[in-house]
Amino acid sequence: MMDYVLNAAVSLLRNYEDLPFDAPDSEETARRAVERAATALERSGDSFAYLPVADLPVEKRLELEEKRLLSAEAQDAPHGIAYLRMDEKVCVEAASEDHLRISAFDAAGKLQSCYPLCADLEERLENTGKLAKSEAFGFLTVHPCDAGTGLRASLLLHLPMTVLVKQLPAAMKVAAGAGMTLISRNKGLCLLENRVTMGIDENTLLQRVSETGDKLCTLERGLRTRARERSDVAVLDPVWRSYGTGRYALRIGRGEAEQVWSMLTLGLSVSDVMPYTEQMADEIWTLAHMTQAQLTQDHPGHPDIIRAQRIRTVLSGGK
Amino acid sequence: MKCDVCGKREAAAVVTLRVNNKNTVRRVCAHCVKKLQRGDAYSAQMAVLSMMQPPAEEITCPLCGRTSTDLIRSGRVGCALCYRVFEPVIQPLAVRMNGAMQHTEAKPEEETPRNERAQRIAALRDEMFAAVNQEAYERAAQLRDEIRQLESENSGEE
Repeated sequence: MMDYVLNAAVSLLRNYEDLPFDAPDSEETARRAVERAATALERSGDSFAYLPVADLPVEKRLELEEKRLLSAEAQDAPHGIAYLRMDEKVCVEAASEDHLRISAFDAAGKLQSCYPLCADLEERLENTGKLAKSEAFGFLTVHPCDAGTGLRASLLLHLPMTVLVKQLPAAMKVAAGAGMTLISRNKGLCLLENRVTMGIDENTLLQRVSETGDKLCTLERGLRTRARERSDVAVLDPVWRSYGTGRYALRIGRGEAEQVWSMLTLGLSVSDVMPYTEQMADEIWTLAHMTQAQLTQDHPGHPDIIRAQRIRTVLSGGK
Repeated sequence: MKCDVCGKREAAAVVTLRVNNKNTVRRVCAHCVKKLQRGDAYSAQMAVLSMMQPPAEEITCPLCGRTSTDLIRSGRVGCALCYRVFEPVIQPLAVRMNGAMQHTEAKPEEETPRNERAQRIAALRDEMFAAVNQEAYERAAQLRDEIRQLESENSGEE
């Protein structure tokens, strides 16, 4: 069962020294950055899908944004191109805010397995043009807040108990103390990301993000153990309510399905008597992240209605 | 009125950025509001920049034409040279954001016996494939055994 650390992602922001940092506004700069990226990736031996960001269906864009393989700024780059490796674990965004954004995603939540993938591609991309770097500021980026390593490492954490007992501000303080930000995305789902990019090398940075993630998970684990010992009604009530939603709701959107999964997973760790299994909870996670096309493939209709129907089927044991 | 941050779209909202109990008001477009509300490093940077005073004399980048006021307003530089030109603005921002004055380079990988062995294994593999291509199977088998020996030494250390 997946819990605590749901996934990990690493991004490297890079710019070519000889090109102005105006890719979203200048077609010429964007074209040159895209050409260089294309040349480097052709030589890499891997196959990449060529995705013009402006033409990307909203659902696909959001899916890639959620995996942090695409930046939120990509939609503002009319000439931006995303090169997505076929296994959808690595993506190079060219001509977005920065000339290059090299990202890797790991569904198992291991930052250390993402970074080498990015570093390898960076080396290949560097062969097509010198990257902007200075001794004082490290890698130079469009926003000075990214300069230095130009590295953003993030972990998607599942901290429903921390949120439920209003310990999120304390968790945010722990993150801020380590130079990180903890952003609450959906009830219980929090994104931990480094804020500091300078004065620290890449490996130490990754280690620090992992350690802070561990710290927050330990806090969450402790809170769950305490709730389990006390059979806390304040915790069990929202769990059972979410079970009710999953069992009887007629329409469930993606966000709500995530919340149902979050609460049901929490329920399994705070009580032994739950009317569903780990496997059922995992199936709800899968249903929450299914695209419109996947949901309506066999059953035409509104995707939220089909999602609710399938969640009901899962929770009633396939009846 | 144009957005204070991007300078492109029409301002649609008023945002108060708060740093050290001091408030700064910005008129921003709907798009930039979203970015400022993300609560990430970008939002922190914009909050810090909102408290910074532009240098007494306006600085302009000779390469891209961006000014220090543009940088403070939008949080963006225009080219690699901007980092040198706007150092009086970027340096305090970097210190505030990172608590560090300067970039730290990653240490080169340590020369441990394990790393040396990994390099040797890679070299032997290439040699083995070359031997197979030349149909020198006896030599390839010798190399394979050598690789196995090195790999077992590496796994013994784990």
